[in-house]
Amino acid sequence: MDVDERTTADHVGLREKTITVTVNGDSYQRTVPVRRSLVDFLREDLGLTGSHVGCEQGVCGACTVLLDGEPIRACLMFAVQADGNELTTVEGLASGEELHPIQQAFWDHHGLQCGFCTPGFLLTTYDFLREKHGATEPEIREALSGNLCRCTGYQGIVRSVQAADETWER
Amino acid sequence: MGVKMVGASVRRMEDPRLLRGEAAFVDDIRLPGVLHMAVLRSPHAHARLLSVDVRAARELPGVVDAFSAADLGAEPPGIPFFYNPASFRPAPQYPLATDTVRYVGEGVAVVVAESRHLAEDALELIEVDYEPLEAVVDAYAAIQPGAPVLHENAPDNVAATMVYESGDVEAAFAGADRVISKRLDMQRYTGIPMETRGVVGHRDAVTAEMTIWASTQWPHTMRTVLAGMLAVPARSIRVITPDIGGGFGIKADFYPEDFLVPFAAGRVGRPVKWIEDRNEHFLTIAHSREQIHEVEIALRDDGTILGLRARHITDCGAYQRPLGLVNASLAATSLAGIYRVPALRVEAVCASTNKAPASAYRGAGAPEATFARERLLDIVARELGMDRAELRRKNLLTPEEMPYDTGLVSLEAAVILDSGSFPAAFEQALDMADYAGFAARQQAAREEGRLIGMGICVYHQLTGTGPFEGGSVRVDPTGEVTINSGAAPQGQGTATMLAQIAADELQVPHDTIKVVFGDTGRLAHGMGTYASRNAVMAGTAVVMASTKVREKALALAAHLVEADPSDMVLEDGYAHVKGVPTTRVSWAEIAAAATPGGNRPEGMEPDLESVQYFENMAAPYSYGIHIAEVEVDPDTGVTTVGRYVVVNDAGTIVNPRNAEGQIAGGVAQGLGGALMEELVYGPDGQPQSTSFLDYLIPGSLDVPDVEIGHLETKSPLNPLGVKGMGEGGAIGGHSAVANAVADAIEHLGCTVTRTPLKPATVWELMRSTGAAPAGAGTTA
Amino acid sequence: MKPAPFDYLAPADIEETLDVLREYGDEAKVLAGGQSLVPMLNFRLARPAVLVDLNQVAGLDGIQAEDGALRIGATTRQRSLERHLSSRPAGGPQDLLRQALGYIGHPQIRARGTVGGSLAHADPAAELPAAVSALGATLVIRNAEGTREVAPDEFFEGFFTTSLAAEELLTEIRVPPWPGSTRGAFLEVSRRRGDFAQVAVAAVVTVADGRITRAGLALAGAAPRTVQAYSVVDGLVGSEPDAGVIAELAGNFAAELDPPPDTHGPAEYRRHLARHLLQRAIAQAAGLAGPRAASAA
Repeated sequence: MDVDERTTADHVGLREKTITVTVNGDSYQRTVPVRRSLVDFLREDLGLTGSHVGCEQGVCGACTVLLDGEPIRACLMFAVQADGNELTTVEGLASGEELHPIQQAFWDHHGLQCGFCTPGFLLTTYDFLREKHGATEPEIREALSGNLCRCTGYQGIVRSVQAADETWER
Repeated sequence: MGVKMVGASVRRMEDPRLLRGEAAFVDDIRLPGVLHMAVLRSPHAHARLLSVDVRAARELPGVVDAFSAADLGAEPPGIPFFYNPASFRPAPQYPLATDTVRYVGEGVAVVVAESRHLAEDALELIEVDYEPLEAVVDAYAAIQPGAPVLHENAPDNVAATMVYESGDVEAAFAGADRVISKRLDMQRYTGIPMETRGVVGHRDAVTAEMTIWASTQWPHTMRTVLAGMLAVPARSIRVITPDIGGGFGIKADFYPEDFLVPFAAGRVGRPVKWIEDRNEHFLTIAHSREQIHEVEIALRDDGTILGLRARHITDCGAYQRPLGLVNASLAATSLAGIYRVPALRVEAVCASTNKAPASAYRGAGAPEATFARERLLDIVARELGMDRAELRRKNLLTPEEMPYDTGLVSLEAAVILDSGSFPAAFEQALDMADYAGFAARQQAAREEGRLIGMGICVYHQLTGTGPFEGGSVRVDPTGEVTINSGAAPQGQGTATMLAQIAADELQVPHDTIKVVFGDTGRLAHGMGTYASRNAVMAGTAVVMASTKVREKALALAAHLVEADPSDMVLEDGYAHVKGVPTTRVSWAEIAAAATPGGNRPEGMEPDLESVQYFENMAAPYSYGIHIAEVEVDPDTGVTTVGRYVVVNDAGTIVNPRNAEGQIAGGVAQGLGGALMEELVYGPDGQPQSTSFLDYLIPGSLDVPDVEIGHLETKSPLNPLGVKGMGEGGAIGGHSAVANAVADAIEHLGCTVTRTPLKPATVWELMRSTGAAPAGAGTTA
Repeated sequence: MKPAPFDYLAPADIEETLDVLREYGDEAKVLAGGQSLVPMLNFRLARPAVLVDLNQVAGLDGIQAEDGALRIGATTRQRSLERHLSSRPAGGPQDLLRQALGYIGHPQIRARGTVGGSLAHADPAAELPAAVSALGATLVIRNAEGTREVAPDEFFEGFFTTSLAAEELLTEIRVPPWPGSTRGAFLEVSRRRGDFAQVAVAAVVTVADGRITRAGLALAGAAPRTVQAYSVVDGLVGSEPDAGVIAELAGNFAAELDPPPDTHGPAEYRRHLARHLLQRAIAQAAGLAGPRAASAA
């Protein structure tokens, strides 16, 4: 298809939309192109660059955020679809200077190397441990299997999740 | 000396920013008015480029610029190559294809637009007229007469043939009891970091300096190459590495986009950003590993190795960029490993094919050669009826033979094994893995219908390559210490390591030291982070610089308290006269005294900074033993890796926890290569592994815990006694896992000669024997 | 990897959705969970002029369980169904659905992905089409004129194609009740956890008075579409569960399959997996499971 074959007058729906989202407790109103992904919106429109773009096809998990409490791939949603929803990103985990117990565990147990995949792992872990206490190593590995890490071999990440399971009071 | 940080497993200083989402990777660099670049890529593996018309793209609203090779000038600059052996017939890549495209993904034209979306829209409006040519995708086929030719200057598609020889090979083979030969192939696979590549360029309106943020492992090299290609003075380009999301060697290359972004930014006068998407990444990132090894080994009946004779063909893809020949060279000089091989001859053939250009990836030739050797040794042991550990034990070099000069010199360095305790490491690994008890367990498992196997891999790696690395240590008048390093790490924890090294010299808390990497505006010369060079090269440069600062600080402090410098000591962030803590002078006071106009001893130069370059061509070699245990499902061919043991010897370890992280991560990549990862091309040159669904990297359920034992045979080649080690996991992992799978199934009558050992491949191997276990029968 | 331009519509109810679909026909593409469609948009492999987002449509999601039957709204999130089924007894026919859901991607995919979306996408290697086929589910389809109900075999037509017309919408999946003595099993071999199946088998078997009285068998990854093993079902029904009979039926069925080869393995390997998994899944669902059957890869 020729991209300019249809003019603005031909639009049957919206090419841009104004949306309101709550991210990490703060409300934002922005007008965005409808084809902008949620992760691009977080990064470019809100400046929350902690969520990373690793594949844009939903496999690597680097863009994992919580949408109304559920972990999702922010590369597989359009920003307009999050209108009216609440999001949690990596920037929302720590309380001021104090790291979240999951972040602290990743620091204490060498749960990261380059750190690019880390925000996705943190939010996946958050979702997993919120419901699960006393997780076994196979359960942890299963829970993490939707996030790819190329640096650590996962060993440090698994240790970190085990530690956070013990230290996070929830 | 007081507090000792080298050797301490401290937490990484890098982590809090990364954990908070506050890091700045290249895509996080946000410049006002930035434009986005997209590249139109060839859909053909081989075609004549008849015409490229970008006019319609330029007309699309939101597009600022569009151009093709025709706009690069009458003689577009080629990407330089760094090695030039006598046989080399260069096939340089140009930033955009000029008259022929030679692989799917090769850049043909560029669009610069207000958004990436618009830039991609505009790519669809560029009209290109291709005349398809026959493609050649197999390196063996490429060098046969009559194959399609990629480059006119090499009608046989051989870009270079390098021959490495030591000892009397003919005599060794003539005098052998046995000669065993095998063809062993490694597939095309590569680093695939979680962060793709990216470049942001911005020319400052006041200084006219072009600042470039790039996800690169060698900023200084990038600066120098770019200055040459753009024909501008080096001073007009500043390259800065932000946080880098993994590299593993493939970001130590010079890619077309490294030129195109600054070039485009110069044309449009606005900042330009290009972030490689994952599809582009699979198409165009430096591919690696693909080699065909034809190896012959000469032995006595008792298993003593007399010689190795080999030819390997490296699939270099369509062009050679800076390190394009390195894999071939290092595979040749790595083939003998840490065994006593009195005679060796390797012919390293570099073949051109219609695939993405290949270059170095974690191990760079060593994993390939290690696979050829370690797989061959298992095959030899079986043919000799000898225990595979005994065969290795018999031929390992001993500490008494160190240093051991192989007589070989690769494109990178002379192969002189500087130090090591190979037999001790070997026995330690066998003990940890309970090699002695495995045969009985394997037999018991087979009786239950289960297939388990244990694989051994003995490897060594070239580390800390020269010629130099730079580092500066400065103390500001407020007392804080800053290190500037020419390294450009990608997750190794190098900031923490360098701070630990400097902390020992300066006796300040390591976590108060700021470490800045890879900024050509802060350090005149640097090499970067690849070839496991950080500890050896960047670390030694920091030792040198902090020693100078320490000496000067002591002299200043002595001057301030009117004592003799030799009586002064550094402790807890202060200097004082030994035994007299009341004389203490803070770093801030010392540094203030060092400022121009300050209270310095007569004749002392002002300022408290030292810039040092560690110049060294003698590369240390580290080594390790990997032992993997696997189970193969006889019904499905699926391999599960169970226990995994590593004994690693990289001399002094600055931060053991970081080192162990490097090993575990490397093993995961080696395992991926052994079982999962492959960049597949169809016979027409169409890539088939262009997404994370087709190219499988290991997930959390695929990788075992790694049990690690350390030996510390210090290198005599640098003051810390360190050797590099970051690549070893990937070198050892591939062959240990492959050998373990072989051990699990070869009793059925098959032989493992290539990787990856994906389930279907293993199933076919088992089925091919006719003596297949219950589940592996035919269905049709 | 950014999508081509499209217009975005987010209707509020089913009627409005059907009107939109009638108006734009082939120009429109329905967006449910987006876990397959959005990657295709990002790769520009799908380029609809109009994207019709179902996520605001009222009354299209939800789970109702009554008398052993299950009615699942098309936009029910896979994770919601998984949670619903997790609270029910293991081993029954619907447990096969729970097991199948566990193989779909990862929690992050299932949190967004919908049951109807996966069916309408009709990936031949996807789990849910096989699961609903084996369970003999009914798919409820609406257009502006009315409603039709189809069996899975009338729905799945081929490689990523269904009998769903451009103006139609899959609104509900109805899983029928099975007799009390029914067991389900879902087995899969994939390259990695969460990847699409190389081959997966869904098996539902009712055993009464020592004989198989009813069965449903379907495979993913074994053909260009989800296929049901009717010949195996016919051979099983009326007979006593017997490993030899199962092996022979599974072998004969698998030999006729023509799975598309890909980079993960040749057709021959997939045929072998089909036979092997079919055998094991039937044995497990028929209560013959040996120790190995529990360790599905």
